[in-house]
Amino acid sequence: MHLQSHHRKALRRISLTPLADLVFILLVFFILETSFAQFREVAFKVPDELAKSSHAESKSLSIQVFPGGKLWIDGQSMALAELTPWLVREQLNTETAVILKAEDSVPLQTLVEAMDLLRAQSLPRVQIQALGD
Amino acid sequence: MFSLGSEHDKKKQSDDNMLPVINMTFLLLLFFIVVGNFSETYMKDVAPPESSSEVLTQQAEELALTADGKLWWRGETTTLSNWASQMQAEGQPVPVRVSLRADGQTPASTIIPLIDELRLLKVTRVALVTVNKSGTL
Repeated sequence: MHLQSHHRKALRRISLTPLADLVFILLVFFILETSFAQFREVAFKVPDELAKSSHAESKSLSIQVFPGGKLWIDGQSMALAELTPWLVREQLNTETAVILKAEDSVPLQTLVEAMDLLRAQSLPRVQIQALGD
Repeated sequence: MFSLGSEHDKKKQSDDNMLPVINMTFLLLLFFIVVGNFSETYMKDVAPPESSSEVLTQQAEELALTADGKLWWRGETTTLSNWASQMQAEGQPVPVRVSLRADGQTPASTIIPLIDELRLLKVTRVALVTVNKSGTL
């Protein structure tokens, strides 16, 4: 009994400060290194050779995309913000394949925004091509 | 003797006062270990585009593309042909669906040739990794 209480006292004398230091360092490391970002995805079909040539041209809508979110559809120029009202007016079939023809310097962000707007109007069949194709 | 004893008591007391702090710190530490996920160093160079997509990323072979056109796979820079041959060397077929973590500022002139190369490797679907428009969540 006496031995046990002596042992406990000896344990008590171990300082907790280094432990606390270490745990704080670990905590700071984990705070800095972890990320809580939850990623989403926007999927699109890789255009096959057939689609790239002539097939389905009649059933597809071609949108030319220029830097700054400028679009060229069916001979008319419009801003990205005007795409939704245009799509609503046209009432395209949901099966319509949409081909985004991007100019070289168009950033991916602009293409994703365009895909977002198309998906919002139930046009999920989107392909990306270069403007010259 | 008396003064020694009281000093010991004081020390013991100060350590006892630290216990809740240490408990809290341990809890926080556990939280970060369990909930957070580590990102690889090269990922910090890739800021995915923002979208309003609600579809969470699915398990797929992931390629990363920085704005300067460098392609990364499993923490190393690579080319698509190297990637395909490495996959085949591991006895795996080239997947038909690939997840692409590309920087939002990557120009179309980098992305489109990459998509063309993927087509030649018989990849039929590309899922672009994006972040939610409102922020990180």
